Amino acid sequence: MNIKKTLRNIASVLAVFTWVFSTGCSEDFLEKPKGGDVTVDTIFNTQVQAKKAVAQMYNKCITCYNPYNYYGGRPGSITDEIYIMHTANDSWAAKVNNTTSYVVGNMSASASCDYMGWSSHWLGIRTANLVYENIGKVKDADAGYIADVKAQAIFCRAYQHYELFMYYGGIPLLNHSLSGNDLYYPRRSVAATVDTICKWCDEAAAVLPETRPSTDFGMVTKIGALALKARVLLLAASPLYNTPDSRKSEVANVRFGDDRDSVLCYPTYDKERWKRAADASLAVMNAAPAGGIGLYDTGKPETTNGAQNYSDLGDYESAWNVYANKEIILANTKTINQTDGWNNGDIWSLYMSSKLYYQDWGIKNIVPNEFIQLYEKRDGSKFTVPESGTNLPDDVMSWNLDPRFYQSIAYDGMWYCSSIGYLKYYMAGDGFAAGNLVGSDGTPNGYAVECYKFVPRVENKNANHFFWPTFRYAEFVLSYAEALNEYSGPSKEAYDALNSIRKRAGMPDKSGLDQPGFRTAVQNERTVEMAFEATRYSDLMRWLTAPTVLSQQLTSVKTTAKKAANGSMLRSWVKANCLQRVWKDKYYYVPFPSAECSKMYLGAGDWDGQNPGW
Amino acid sequence: MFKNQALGKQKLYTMKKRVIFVLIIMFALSKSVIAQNISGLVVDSKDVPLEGVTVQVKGTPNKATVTDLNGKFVLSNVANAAQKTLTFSFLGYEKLEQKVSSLTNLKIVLQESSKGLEEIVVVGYGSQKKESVTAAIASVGTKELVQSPTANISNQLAGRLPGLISMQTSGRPGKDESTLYIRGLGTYNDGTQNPLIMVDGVARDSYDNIDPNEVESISILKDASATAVFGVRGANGVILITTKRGKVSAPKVSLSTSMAQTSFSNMPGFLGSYDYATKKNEGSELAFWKKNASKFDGTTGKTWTDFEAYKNEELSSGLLRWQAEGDYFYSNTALLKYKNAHNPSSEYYDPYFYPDVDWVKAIFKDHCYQSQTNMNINGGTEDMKYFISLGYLDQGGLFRTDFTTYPKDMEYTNKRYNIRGNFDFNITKDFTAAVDLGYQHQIEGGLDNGNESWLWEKRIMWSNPLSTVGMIDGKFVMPDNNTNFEQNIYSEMAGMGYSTVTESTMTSSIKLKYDLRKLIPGLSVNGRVAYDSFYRTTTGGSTPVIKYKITANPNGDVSDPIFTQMSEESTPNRYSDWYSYKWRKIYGEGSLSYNRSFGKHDVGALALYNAEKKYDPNLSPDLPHAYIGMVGRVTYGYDSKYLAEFNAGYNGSENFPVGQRFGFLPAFSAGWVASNESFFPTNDYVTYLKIRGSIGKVGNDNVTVNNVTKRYLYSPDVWTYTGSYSFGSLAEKTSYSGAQEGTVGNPNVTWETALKSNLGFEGKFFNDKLSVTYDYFNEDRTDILSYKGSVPTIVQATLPPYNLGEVKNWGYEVDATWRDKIGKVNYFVKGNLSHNKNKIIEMDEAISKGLEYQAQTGSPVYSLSLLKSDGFYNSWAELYELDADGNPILSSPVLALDAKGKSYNNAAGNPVYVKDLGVSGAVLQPGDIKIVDYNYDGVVDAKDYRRAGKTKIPEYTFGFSFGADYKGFDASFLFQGVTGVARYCSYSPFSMLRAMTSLANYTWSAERYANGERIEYPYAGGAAPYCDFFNKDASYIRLKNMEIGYRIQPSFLTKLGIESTRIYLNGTNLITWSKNSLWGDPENLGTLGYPLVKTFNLGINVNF
Repeated sequence: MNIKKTLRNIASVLAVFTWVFSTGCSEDFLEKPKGGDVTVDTIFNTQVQAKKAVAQMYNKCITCYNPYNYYGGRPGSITDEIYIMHTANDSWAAKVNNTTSYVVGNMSASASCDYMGWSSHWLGIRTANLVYENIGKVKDADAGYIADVKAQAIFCRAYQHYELFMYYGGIPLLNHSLSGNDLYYPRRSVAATVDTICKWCDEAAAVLPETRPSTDFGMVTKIGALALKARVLLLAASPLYNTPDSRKSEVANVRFGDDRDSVLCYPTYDKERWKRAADASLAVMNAAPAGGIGLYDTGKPETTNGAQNYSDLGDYESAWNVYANKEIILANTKTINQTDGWNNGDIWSLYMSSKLYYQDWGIKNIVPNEFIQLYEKRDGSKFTVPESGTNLPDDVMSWNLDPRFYQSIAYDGMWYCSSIGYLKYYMAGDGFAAGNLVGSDGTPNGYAVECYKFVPRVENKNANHFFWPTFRYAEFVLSYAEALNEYSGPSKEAYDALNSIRKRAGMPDKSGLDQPGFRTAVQNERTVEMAFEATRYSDLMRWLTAPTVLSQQLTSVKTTAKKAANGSMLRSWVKANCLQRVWKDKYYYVPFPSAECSKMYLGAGDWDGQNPGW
Repeated sequence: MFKNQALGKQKLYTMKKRVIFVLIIMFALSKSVIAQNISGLVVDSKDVPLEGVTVQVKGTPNKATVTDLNGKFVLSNVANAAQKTLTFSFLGYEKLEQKVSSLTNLKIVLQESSKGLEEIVVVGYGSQKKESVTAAIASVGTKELVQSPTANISNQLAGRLPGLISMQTSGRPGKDESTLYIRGLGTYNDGTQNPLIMVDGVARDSYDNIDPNEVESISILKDASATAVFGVRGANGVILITTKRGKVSAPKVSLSTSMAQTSFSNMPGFLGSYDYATKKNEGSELAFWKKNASKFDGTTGKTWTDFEAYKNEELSSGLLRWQAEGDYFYSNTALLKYKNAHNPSSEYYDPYFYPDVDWVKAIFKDHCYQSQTNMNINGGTEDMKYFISLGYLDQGGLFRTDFTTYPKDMEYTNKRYNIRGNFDFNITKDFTAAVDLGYQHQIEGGLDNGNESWLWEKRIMWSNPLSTVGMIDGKFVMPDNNTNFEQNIYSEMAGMGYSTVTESTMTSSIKLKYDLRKLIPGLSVNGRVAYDSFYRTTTGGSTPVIKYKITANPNGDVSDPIFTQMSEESTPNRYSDWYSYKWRKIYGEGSLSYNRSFGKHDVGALALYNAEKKYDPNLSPDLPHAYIGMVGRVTYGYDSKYLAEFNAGYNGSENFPVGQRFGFLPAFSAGWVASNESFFPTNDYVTYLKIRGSIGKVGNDNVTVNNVTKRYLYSPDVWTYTGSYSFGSLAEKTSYSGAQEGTVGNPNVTWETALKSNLGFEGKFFNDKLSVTYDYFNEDRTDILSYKGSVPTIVQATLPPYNLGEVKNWGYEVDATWRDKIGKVNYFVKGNLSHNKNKIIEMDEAISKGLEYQAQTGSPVYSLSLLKSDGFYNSWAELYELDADGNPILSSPVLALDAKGKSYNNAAGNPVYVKDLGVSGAVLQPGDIKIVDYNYDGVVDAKDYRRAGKTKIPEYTFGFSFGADYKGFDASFLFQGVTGVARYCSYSPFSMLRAMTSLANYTWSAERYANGERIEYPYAGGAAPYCDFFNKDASYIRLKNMEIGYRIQPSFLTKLGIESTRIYLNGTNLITWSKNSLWGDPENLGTLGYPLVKTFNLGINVNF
């Protein structure tokens, strides 16, 4: 066999081989088959599809503090409203919100008290920006629909910027979705942040309708945009950002003392900011009637004993229990479904919300005595929790407190609902076995007072009507009173506003106070009226009262079963220490996650953008 | 059809005979013409002519030729031809020297070499003679594989293969496979570090459940030269599994069966009630300072005496303050009751309300059994060869389940049936076919929740000895007022129900080979089609549990409590089977191969094309997954001295956009067999010496995050349906599903590449008694497909993987074997050591200024960022000045010292005290771990974490074995171990009312410290910061395998047709030596789950 022939044979075999396989070896074999994904064009094609993007925008932007997922327990747990009782206070319950470390002064940059977390806010903002940028592509929508959705997107974006501002101070401002390489947006000054959010609110308010059909309850209206503006301006006028010279020393520890301070506060105090705040709240009150919004006031301040139905509730309890009632300007309407199972975390959240609902595995959300004492007695006088007592339910009733106390706070021996009956927090004693709510995770402790606001009770623990009030009308009435007093002292308008809330609650009017006196009164009123509604944290910061309030020794009451002379059971009780709170001034501004600072986009030059003290 | 073939064969045979006949006549005729030529014929033992046999005149190396197609050779012009000796050599046959007895029609018969056959090495898409291999390959044969009585084949490799890291994390029957890494880690991406698995030449997902009795050999391909042919899938090395094939012989039957006893290799001890309660009390007292220190800071003038008075103040309840305010406190009476829980004669006997339950005994068995049986038949004729194997495995579990509703189903078990048939057909002399069929059927079951680490963490480790007595008279009892599920491990386990998973895996392949020798000698064309399928069904049952509350009997009889049923009885359920997973895969391959020798030149070439599609609904999105590849190989050898090889893979991956879809990955290698040089002195000390080296590229196209394989990385921006929101008043409330932006596309994405080089040395010494292999390797992985870590979070786009990052990986392997005999005792000693290290050179991560010591860049993969510890604070004197009584003076704290031993100031300019160096300002006391203020800023916080220390990937792995046989006896031992490894242990014995292992006996206390006793943990109830103290050294040495066997061959068995019978006793994981056994088994230290097991096994093997 000669070489020539061999080579020819090799060549021909290779040729055949190459031909056979090159036919199969096309790129088509590796091409992605059709199916699988949807793209932005699929979503923003029809209104029906686009509504999914809108739904997700609300889901990501309108925070639900009524814990519906793994993120958090009650927002009040880092304030003086709630003390989470769980063994050793270091369990999963208190860790969820980073409460454990916060309350003892150990908040860290990697585990801050930001309820949803840094990235969640920005995901909301991106979602809103993408809706804003793409909604115009929807084919079957008219200009009115598109303008409305755009205005809602602007509002949602603004709301998330507000939450960030409330925690961190001045923040990057994003009015478009980011892509490509242009990714470096530094923190902006407090002035720019406030002005931009307000501008967005104005833009949204100009387009949004005053009312919406009842099928659209949950979508923001013009009054919602005005309410957000009012909140932001009240925050901006407050001493943390708008610091009068007389109070500068209180925040000296959280100032850099150089240009960087512009992201923390206004350079100088300006009283006119209070005027802006008062006007913004007044704008909400003025716009309210046209939107069907107002105070829920039927003249029934007290909840009927043994209430099972909405009609038995006092007006205050109704305002956060009755779905879509007139006091709700905007609510998070995500369905809270306690029967969904573990999959979406709802069950988890109900464990977090109270021991009442899940008993053994629930968390005791104790309301400390220090907070209870903020509720006045029914006659308007100051109340102090006694050192001990012989039977807690009798004693609590005899305290004769502000009706709002009895509509928010549960205690050992209280009748709750027909399936639970009387609450049993007491420890064993005198031959009586301990109650069924006695322990937390295996440790009997007898702590006997717990928050039941936003825990199902009515209609025998029916949770279907639950919503989270984002903006409730009463808040803006109190904001108006507060701002007005700061601007021009306790005027008649300020008193009217304050007393309208007190009257609805069944409390006597305030009168004859000087400016500081009115300030104390309105701040206390706000604390009680808005209790457990996630405003306390922001209020404590902006008023600069956090160092006092959040460094208290928190106490509660513990009950033990005792045999009465007639053989029946009494719930004897004593005061007991819960927790020594620790405050640090650097808490005024929540730290950015360290990883974000290390990316060096928040600050300028050598400064990584981190807040003072972190 | 067979008949025709047979006829055809016969024709061929007759033709051949005729040719030979003619040739012989020709030789005879030419006898007198050229007297100095030598000619002849070379045949094998079956008289078949052999082509390509090298024929050499001894002493005249340049006088050589090879036999032709008909086995014929002619050596012309040989001087003194009749006095010469010829040597005949051929791959796979014994070398032969023959004196020239006749100048013509010399007939030479070459015997097949058993040794030569062993030295064939399986390589990617082919096989090579071991001596001509230039790549780094290690392999293990069937003998070692069947030696370890483990169910999963991946657990039989540890310590056997240099360059292989094997880590087993669970011992659960059916889920006990090891994670394997070849030559350490080349990338920081989780999920893309595992080698490619090839079973009989086809990439396969599941190999774990192959019966080891079916396997001929397992090889690992380590360097670029060996793996380049696998292109974009070979970057992490390749494991080649070759199953057994039939050999020409009468049917040989091999039957083996064994029975093993299995128990946990390391089960920590747990504290009983009395010790438990005592420790809790100790914790409450010791932690009192931590809780109350803020009340006694020096500034308010409070003193230690004040603190002691406060702590020991007697409250109205009769308890001291620390007792009342402690998280847990057990009174003396309670302690006495716990102590006497098993002592009916004691006045403190109260076993139901003060129980002491050894729940380890309650829920685990001492041991369980495992049996394994295999029967295989092997044999055939020239035309048809077969290997058929049937295997059965039954693995029992170590959980007690006799108290549950379905004791059998609840037990963790694994049953496996294996069937394999490998057939080789010679259809014609040039046309052969191989048909391979494999089938595995596995039934795996046990307590539900599939995830035994959950069971372990959330149930077993949450059990304590004093919560409840567990069961009385078959009733699950709960303590007085507590129905918390963690209180009773019995009822919890019983209530878990069971699930049973049945999996069927079918693998099949048909390979056709046509030898084109008629067209071009040495050329053949091959084709192959393979089809694999997998199907899984699940079934299960639920068991409602009735709990009873017990209350004390008013009559005072402590052993006769009153039961109250806490829930209604309900029916247990058994579910029908449901489909839970399936996939199928089709693979096709076509190739041309060429192998021929021209004199001293050995030439080989391979061109191969393959393609596969996998249909798997679990892929996201559910679209078939495709690969295309082309393989090229050219080998050249000169005179068995100089070897060179070129391998290349040209692969396409669906992950990349058009234009970047295909990658060309070449590798070169060369070898020099020095001992074959004529100048190499012939001696008995160095009998073989080869130096080889390779360099080349291999790729990776895979990104897997949390077990989800990312696909079509180039796809444009995708949206997904997720979340929901409701609008409308209560009556009109409508829930809308949400849609959100998914992943953004990367149009420029392409494969990551590993540039690998290898330098190796192989030698045989002392008459081949000692053989040594050494390899040094270096890998540089670049363009690693990974996610950006430095993008500001405010962007919030889900960005795709980019080609970022670089990791270097290097190390060496040594492997040595000594084989010899002393008298009639044959023995061997083997050892291997592998070393690997890696370093992340580049990674897209955010690094804070001044915190470079926390970066992953510059550290090994999996290096942890931990606080730095420096032992314990052992006395108050380290924190405060002491007064005359030895008590701390709270107003005089001790200054902290920096690295230079000088005191220093914090950011505010105030001096730093030791007492302030608790983590995030936590209160310190003796018995706390001393955490170093790493950046000396006066606080211990997030900035003091640093990346250092060993990782979970061992830097050194080694195996050492020895064995001997004498007459019928044989014995062997394998020791295996790792070092340069650490694992983080987060178990805390003091977390709530959780189980306390014997670790709690080694807590810090002033007393224990003073006595110089072993201390393994901070003080009882003290903090366990995330620091290097808990990154425990996980080095170990294990008696991994031991075997003693005896072969009996009594004549009566031979009469029965039994050739040989062997009885053996072997075991695995028999003894383990490790520093931190208190923390668990070193191999899965820090992992919660079904512990690893050790096994003793007795077996018998009969051959017919």
